[in-house]
Amino acid sequence: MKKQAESALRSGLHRFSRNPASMIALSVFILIVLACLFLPYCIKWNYRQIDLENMYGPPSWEHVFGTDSIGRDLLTRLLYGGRVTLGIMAVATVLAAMMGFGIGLLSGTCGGAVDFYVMRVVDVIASVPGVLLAVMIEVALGMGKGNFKYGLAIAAMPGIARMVRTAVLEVMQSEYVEASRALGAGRNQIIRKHVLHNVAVPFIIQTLGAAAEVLLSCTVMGYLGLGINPPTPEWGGIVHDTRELLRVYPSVALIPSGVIVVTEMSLHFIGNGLRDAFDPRNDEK
Amino acid sequence: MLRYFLKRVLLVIPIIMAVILIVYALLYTTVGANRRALSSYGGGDLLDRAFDRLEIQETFFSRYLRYCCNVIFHLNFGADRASGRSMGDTILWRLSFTLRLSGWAFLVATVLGILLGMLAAIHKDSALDNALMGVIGFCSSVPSYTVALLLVLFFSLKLRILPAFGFTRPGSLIMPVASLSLGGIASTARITRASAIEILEQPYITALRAKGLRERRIVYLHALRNALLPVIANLGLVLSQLLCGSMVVERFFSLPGIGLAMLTAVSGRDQLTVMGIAVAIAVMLTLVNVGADLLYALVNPQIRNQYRGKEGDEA
Repeated sequence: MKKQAESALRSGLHRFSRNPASMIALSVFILIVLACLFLPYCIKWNYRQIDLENMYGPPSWEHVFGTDSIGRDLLTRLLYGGRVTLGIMAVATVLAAMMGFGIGLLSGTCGGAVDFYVMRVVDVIASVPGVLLAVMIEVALGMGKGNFKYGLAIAAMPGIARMVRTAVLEVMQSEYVEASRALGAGRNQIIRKHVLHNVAVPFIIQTLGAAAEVLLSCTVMGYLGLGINPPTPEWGGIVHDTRELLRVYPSVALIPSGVIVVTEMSLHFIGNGLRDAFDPRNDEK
Repeated sequence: MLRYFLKRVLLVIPIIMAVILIVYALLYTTVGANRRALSSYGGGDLLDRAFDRLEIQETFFSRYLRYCCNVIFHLNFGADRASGRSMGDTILWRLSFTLRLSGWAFLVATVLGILLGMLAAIHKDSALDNALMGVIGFCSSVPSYTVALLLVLFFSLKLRILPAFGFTRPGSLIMPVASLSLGGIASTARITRASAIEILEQPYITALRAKGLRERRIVYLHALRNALLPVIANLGLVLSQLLCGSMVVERFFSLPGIGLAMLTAVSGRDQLTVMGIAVAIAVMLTLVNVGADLLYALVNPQIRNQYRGKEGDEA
């Protein structure tokens, strides 16, 4: 059993690494993360350094992406903004993944009344849209400090919980689990040996999708001015700040949006690639 | 079938109450903060009387229950702090606008999404499929404000054929609907493609092919019907995305919908309005979800037969 699980994992990863689209997406995403983490140390500008003589500066060797309406270096702000945005995305996604996995596993393995009531609570949470929940938490806990990430996490939870529950139910009802139950395996043993192995990959794929959604919602909050307080940069906020540049340097004004789109697309294609690579129908061919 | 409908519809009221509870509990915490902030200006006695008058001394649950009753049975959300009139009227009026906007976006997203998804599924693994998946990936990745920005740049500033804001001139809803619907197109298309691919591999499709039916007839008459089930299950989620997105789009194009009202209320620290709007949106989404469930049950032969069998047993 174990050997087969490993080989399924290995062949899946092999298929993933053979798919050019997913490998490009993966390397782009890693590049963006590394750039946001380390490039700020190599740049002489500071994200809050105002230079009123260089307002709306064009791209140059000094300022690679030009400067914004109060002369701050756009590249530096994007890199620091990436730390903030990707950080919020990571925290919210990890929280959502933990909650969703726990709830889905509980619901799927317990079944019966626990399953029914837990899933109704999940239904209720799912009927409040993510950005709305984020806005309300922001109003309740205080604006501008990034509290909305908890709202995004809670809103991303139902999708993961439902998916984990479905996957767990599927495994629990399969014949080989019934066989091992007949051989005397306890519930914990079944969960450890069979359920976790089979739920892991769909769970990761779903979590990646949730991450992409959280990232987009996070930039929406920033764009609406409900994100992190200025002058701390945040991708959505930068898009909002640089929209005046549109008439002057359209190509520069679209860079922040472009960064968001590229990051989003890389997450999507990593998820797509994983889904294709670990599709059980691959083995039948 | 009727029993399933009744069961599902009766479940709406507890769900709505639970949704209101979440919103209410979240925003209830701000009352204490308001009171502290106000009392720092002095005038404690007057403040106490004012808060007594507003019945803030009552317990959480009695206030919550009354709010629930008011909302569910009378559509009464309290008074609008800004205008002094009934907030329910304001919300309904704003909501009607947003529904017009997101209704069009919903229509566009569903129709285009299903078409693109089916097209990709029929030509699975071909160049067309890859290109379509690229387009779909782009659609789901690009934020609505960027789309709106590009559209305005091109159609309003360059070609000067569509108005950049407002809603009174002809064609003024075209760009808002376009920028709002991209995300919905992507998610609908992705789900349609996945389910259609699965359906097209089913033995009954092979049987139809063997029977000699034309491919077009097989796809659009026999496969599409079953492929649409997951799409119907996803309708509520699409609408929820659209309502969130309408906040951005309404702000961008200065449209007087509920999203803009929400943003105004948030920046004005008007918690009662935030609460009212959140409750209205959540209740509406709950109703849509139930509607989608009922529709799902209606078109899904599995559920239909399950309940028909039960009723037959009883009779």
